[in-house]
This record gives sequence, structure tokens and C-alpha cells, in this order.
Amino acid sequence: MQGLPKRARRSMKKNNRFIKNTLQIKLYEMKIKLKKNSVGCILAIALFLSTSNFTSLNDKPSNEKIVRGVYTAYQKKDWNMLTSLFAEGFNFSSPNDDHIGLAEYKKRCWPNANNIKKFEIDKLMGDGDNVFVTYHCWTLSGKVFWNTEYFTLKDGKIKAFVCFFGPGIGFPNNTKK
Amino acid sequence: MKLTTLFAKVLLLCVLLHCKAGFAHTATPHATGTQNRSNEKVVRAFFIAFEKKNWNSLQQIFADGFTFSSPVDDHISVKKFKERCWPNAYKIKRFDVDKVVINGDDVVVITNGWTMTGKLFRNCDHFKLKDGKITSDECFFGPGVNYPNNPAK
Repeated sequence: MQGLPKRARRSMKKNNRFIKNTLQIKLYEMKIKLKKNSVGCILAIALFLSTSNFTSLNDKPSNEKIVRGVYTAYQKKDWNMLTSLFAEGFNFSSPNDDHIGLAEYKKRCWPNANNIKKFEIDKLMGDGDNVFVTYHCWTLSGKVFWNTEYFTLKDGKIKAFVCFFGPGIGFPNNTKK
Repeated sequence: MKLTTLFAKVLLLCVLLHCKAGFAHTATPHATGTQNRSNEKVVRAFFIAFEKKNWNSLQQIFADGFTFSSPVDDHISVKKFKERCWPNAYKIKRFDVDKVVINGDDVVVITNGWTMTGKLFRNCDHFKLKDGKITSDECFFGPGVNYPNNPAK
């Protein structure tokens, strides 16, 4: 800049200052953008992690909820609610029933619902589409029975369940006990 | 700007804590998995002892204060269990373990038991364990003779 006239040097200095200022402004804007983006990124990661965690936790209780529905349906004496939980080709087994279909189940087992006061689930253990339930049940006449049932599900519907008798009368309409 | 930085830092901390919790979640099933496997082994040993008619190996897996329940037994002790249930062992040919579901110290097993005379008893046993020993067994009867010495069937 030494050989240049005084006016030209001043003009160049002014220009340089302007460029410097513009660059500083741009840099500042970039910083702000970066911060906004990082906040956005953190938010997105947090959201992703929380949702992925929730889905993994929510997968298991769904079969549990379906199985609990069976006992609620019996307590409420709601046949439609019960059948909405069953898959096509549903079958039921117990010491007295060998893989009976839905029609036979309605005829033989559903009348017990009218004698059931309440169920208390002691233990519910799931392993994928297999669920074990141990419960105490009280009849309207105050009798108690304690059974275990093994459910097999597919696509959120009950394909089959097997009833094992524990202490007590086995089932409310048991004429032998 | 300072507020934004603070907010970002808090969020970052949350994410880190969340990740840490996530690792804890993945670590727990692994620990439970090992416990599950060893509990399954103990429960399978129960049926093997019956098949082999080996009272000593059965006794080894019972915790102090073990109780047994079934539709015909109400929380009986080891002594009563030996008196009432063990004689069945001599009429058992084999057990086929059909289903096992384990949840920590709770193990539920469905077995098909075959008597020496070819009769079937399909039962469901709910075992409770503590420190690798069986504290209780609740037996639920399914189809079949229920137990080999059943006089009613």
C-alpha cells in the first residue's frame, strides 16, 4: 500500500474494515446457527432415545393386557369382550376338557361366569407369546379355587389356553366338590 | 445466548443420563439371563432326581423351610413331602419338560410325566427359588392321572 496515494489507502482501509465486519457478522450468524442446530440435534436424539425405550417397554405388557382381559370378561360376564380376545381356531384344555373349540367352550365353561365373584391374579409371567397366570378365584357362594393357566398367543390374540387345577374346587360349577 | 448454552448443557446431561439408564436396562436382562439359566438347571434337576430315584440329589436343591403344595397337599414340609410324594418316584418312568417360563426366581414348568405302566400325568409346577435353591413348589394338576400313586385314577 506504500506506493498508493493517501486517499486510495484510506479507501482500502475502509474496505478492509467493512470486509472484516461482514466476516465477523457472518461468523456470528454461523455460530448461532450451529448452536440452534446442536440444540435441535440433542432434542432429536433425546426424543429418539425416549421413544425407542418406550416401545421396548410397551411391547411386553400388551400380551399381559390381553390375558388379563379374560379374567375381566369373566368377572363382567361379558362374552363379546371375551371372544374379541380369541384367535380363530381357539381351543381350550383342562383336566376335564381336551382341546375343545369355541362352541364347546361356550357350552361347557362360560356358564361358570355366572357363579364367579372375583379373580385375584397372583402371578403373571410372560415369555413372548406364552403367558402363565396363577390366580385365586372366589365364587358367589364364597368358595375358592386356585388355578394356573397357560396361554398361547399369536398376533395379539389368544390361540389356546390350558387350565391346571390347584387346591380348591377347580371351577365354580364343579358338582363333585 | 448464555441461556441457550445452559439449556443445551442440561439437555446434553439428560441425554447422557438417559444413555446410562439405557445401558443399565440392557445390562439387567443379561444378569437376569444368567440367573434364569441357573434356576432352570435347578428345576430340571428336580425332575431328573425323580427319574433317577435319587433322594439325596433332590434334597440338595431344597432350601431350608421348603414347602410343597398341590390340590391334595397344603404347604407340606420336606419330611411330609418325602413321606407322601417321594414314593411316586418308583413308579415314574420319565418326565418330558414341555414348557418353561422363568422370571428371576419364579419358574413355571409344564411336564408330561409317564408312569412305568404307561399312564400320563401332565402337570404344571410353579417353583420359587432363593439363592439357587427351591423354597417352594406348587403343583397344579392337568389331564391324566395327576400322580402315579393316585388311587382315584
